[in-house]
Amino acid sequence: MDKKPETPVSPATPSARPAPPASTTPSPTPAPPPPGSQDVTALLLDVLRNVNREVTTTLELGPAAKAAVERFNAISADLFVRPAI
Amino acid sequence: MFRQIAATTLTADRLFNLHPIQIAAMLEEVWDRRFNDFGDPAIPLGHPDRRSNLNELPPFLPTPQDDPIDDGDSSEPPVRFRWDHLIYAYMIENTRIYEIFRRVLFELVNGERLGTPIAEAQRWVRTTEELFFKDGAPFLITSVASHLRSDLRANRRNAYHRMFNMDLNHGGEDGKPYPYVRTESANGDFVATFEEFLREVWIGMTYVTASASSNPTDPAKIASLAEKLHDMLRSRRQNGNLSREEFAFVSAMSWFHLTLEFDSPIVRSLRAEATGTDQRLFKVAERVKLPAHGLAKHFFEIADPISRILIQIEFGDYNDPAAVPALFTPDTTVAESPETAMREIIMNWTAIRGVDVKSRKVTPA
Repeated sequence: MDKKPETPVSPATPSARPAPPASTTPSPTPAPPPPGSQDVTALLLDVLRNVNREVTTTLELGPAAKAAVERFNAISADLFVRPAI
Repeated sequence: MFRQIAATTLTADRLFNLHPIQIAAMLEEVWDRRFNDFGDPAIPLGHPDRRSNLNELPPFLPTPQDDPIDDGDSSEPPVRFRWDHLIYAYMIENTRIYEIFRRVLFELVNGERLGTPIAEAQRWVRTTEELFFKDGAPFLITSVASHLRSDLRANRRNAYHRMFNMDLNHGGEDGKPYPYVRTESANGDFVATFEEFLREVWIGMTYVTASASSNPTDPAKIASLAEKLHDMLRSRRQNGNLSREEFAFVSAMSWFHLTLEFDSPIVRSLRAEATGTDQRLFKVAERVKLPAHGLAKHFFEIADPISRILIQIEFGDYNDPAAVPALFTPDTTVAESPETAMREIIMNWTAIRGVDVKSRKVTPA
């Protein structure tokens, strides 16, 4: 007797929790930070901004290093070697 | 040198078809057109822009009709030529290219074991024998063999020894060390200093973008090592010493290098066509039963960047710590940067010397 192929059982959807009920009360305006503490988000953004600036600064060459790069290019141009056949 | 000439108005094929005296004359003219700033008394002899005060042959010799040095436009300032650093010749010769072509020529001019050269290769054979396997004609700038130093192979080894305190990695055909004159005035510290320089630059490359850790890069130390290299290299060149030898040896090696950079007539004649300079060398070597160096690819690859960096070190550009970041900071705004050259040097030097300059130096307790 032929057996009907079993329908694969889909794995249980993880954390299929019911959505929280929509709030009926309007969201309150965030309370101002207590005296002596700072807004963490603003602080984090500031840190990231500074890290980015730090990296950019590191990769920028000063005038002496730029002059060295230019000289290297001039030497390379003098010694240009891509033979035409 | 010949690779530069072949990159101007002459093609490599046409260069190989010239008469040997035309090529010799061309080298004289290149020597004449070298960077030679006599107008500035502050530039000492031996400086990269004033290598030598030896004069060239007066213009008695015939130059090719398509003169690669002078395009006939008198309104433009004359083209100045710079040649590679002696380290270029050292790296190229280490592939054993000269010995292999020596055996090729020996077979071709003494018998037919390799067959007869094809028609297009006949001139290459004649020119190569005339220019690089016999004493040069008198008075030419490239004729550096004499009764006082009769063996060109020994002469080149002598120059490598004086400048870098390094010998070639192969001896004579019998496998014994090749005899040559050694001198006390050699740069005995070159290799150790250069490897320390590479190690410090590698640290700079590793930490160039680091922002969340301490940065052990030491520009002052790199500058100090660069200055040490500058001083030792320029000491060997005082008053223009060794410049003529450098010109002759670099020219000779570039002739053989150019020969293998494409399927040139002699490569085709030997049925050694391949992709890549090193692969052609291996096939030619196989034909004459003289093995090339297994790391030939690395020697070919390091030759150009190391030549340029050493020339720049001789300029003294990196004696200033403020200029040192150029060695390890990527610069995408230019076609070729010192950082790219240093990466190639470090990778290939590690392979050919078997010394891992990327590893930290271990100090014994």
